[in-house]
Amino acid sequence: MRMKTLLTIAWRNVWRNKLRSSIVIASIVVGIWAGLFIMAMTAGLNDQRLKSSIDTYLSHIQIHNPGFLEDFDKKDTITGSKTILNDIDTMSHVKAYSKRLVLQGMASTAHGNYGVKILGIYPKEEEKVTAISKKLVQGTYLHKLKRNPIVIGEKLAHKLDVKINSKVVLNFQDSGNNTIATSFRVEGIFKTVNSSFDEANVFVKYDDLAPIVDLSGKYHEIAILCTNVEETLPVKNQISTDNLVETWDELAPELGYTQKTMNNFLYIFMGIILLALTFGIVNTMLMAVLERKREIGMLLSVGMDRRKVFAMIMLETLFLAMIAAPLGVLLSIWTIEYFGLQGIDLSSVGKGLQSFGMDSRVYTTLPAVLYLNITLMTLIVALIAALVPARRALQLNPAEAVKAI
Amino acid sequence: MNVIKTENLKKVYNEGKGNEVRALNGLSLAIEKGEFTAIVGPSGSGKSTLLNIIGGLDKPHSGNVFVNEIDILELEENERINFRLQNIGFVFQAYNLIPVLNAKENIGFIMLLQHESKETIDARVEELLKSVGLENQALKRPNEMSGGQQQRIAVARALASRPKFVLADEPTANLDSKSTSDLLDIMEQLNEKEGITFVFSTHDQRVIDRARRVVTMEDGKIIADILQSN
Repeated sequence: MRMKTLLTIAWRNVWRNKLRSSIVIASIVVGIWAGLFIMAMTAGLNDQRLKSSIDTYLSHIQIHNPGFLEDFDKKDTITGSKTILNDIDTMSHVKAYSKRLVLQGMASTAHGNYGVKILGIYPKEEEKVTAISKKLVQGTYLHKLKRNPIVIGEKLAHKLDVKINSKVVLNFQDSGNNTIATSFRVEGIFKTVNSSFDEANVFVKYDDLAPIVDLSGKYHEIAILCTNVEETLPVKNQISTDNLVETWDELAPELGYTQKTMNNFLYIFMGIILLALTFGIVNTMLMAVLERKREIGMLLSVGMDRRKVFAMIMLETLFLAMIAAPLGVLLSIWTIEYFGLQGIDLSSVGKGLQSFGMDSRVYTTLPAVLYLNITLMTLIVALIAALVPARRALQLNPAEAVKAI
Repeated sequence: MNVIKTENLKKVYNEGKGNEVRALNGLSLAIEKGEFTAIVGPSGSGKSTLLNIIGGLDKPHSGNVFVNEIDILELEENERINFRLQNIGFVFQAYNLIPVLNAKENIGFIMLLQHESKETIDARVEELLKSVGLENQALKRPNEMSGGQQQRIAVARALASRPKFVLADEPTANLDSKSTSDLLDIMEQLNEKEGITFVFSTHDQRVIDRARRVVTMEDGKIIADILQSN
């Protein structure tokens, strides 16, 4: 028998019971769509969290004195910073960098004292590396007030009960471990998607901070932004120094780990959905075989060999999956693209998301390779599911089956 | 020449249990080429079991079955499937046409299994449709035809591969008088003109009356074997 005939019979068999086949196809379509869409939401949330972390404080690479991150000792400044900066200037994949002083201190007003990280920055450099300047909800970014301006997070501003032009006293120690209290005036208030960050970080001008702590010309941190995230490792490898050079995933291992395990997680998640679909396919195809006992018995009686009967049932299942999988993937692409542009408003759980550094509007995204892999996974799962009914068809005794009611 | 020959066939169902049934009890039968034979008997007499064994669909516990002098019980499973395909035509009580194929495709289906060319199949199908008087039903699917028409298509399908003989299990059980008469006319004509051997099990007196040989079974044995002149 020609393959074409077998394909024709299998195809027509699929449409013998249009309602049943349509339900199976619809269930596969919805299953794939639901799986891919949730995967896209998860990937979108994760991407945003990563992007927000890189944009607000991490950047792609940071350089520190090896001892600095252990206890944030202000004396542990970067050694040979001039040479490093000269090298970085020549690297084509470095988009921008920012030199920082980083001090642990206390922000005080009449309403309270809160522990903060004080970042002494060059505003023009910093705004090329981080997006804080674009996240201002009030005021300006350290270029209006001539003396001791400060930019603080909205959450901290609420806690300290300050507004633009209010005074905030920063307490910290200088290089001689003398406690210093200096008054700053609020020039800007920012709000990122990460409320914890907003609460614990303040930005002042390097030129204001360095002389006070006697660290002029010295830096605790150089943050580097590459032309794209893929260039992170190559750029890191080009930096030759005794200082500690770390990439974003080394600085925030939880982010790197999430990113690395995301694909595995997505596949496991989709696998669970497909497993549930398998049972549906097995059930439907088993019904289709048992309903056609007499016909299959006839085929076996007249001399159709069992391999062809087996192939016919497998093909029927494969056809269902071949219709459903592309439809499910196309529907997914359409909705994921749409919500990738429009975003999904999750403001009802926005506070919870912000505490994890995520925006309350999630933009769905999914790597293209996942669409292909999920389509293949669906087809493979359908074939595995077809084995049970196909095997059942082979077990029929033709003499009994032709008389089955 | 014997097309079918069985020797001392024994078949027991539920052997050793309380509900043991001796379906065939040492049955021997020979059928010659061109016969038009009815196997008759009450339910449980062993008619269907005999047909299943002759058709290579079932195996006896003991005895021999020769078709064209080939011992079909000696054949391997795959050889037996191919033997059925090349040598035996089947007509079933419930027609058992493939619902998704039209009349023409149903008839040609067996020849497709035999890897015949499209031209050969088309020519043979046309010839058979004429033989069963359904040329104008060629493109209809089974659900668009009456029971009688479906069974005539089933007979045409059984003959498509030019089998050595046709086994028909209660072929008229689901048909009205007119359809039964039409079907018997066709089977008789094919038997007389083309010399096709027909063996059918039946309860139907109308079929029994038209058969030229009537083999009566009871309790797995032949109790009468009569040649009739119609």
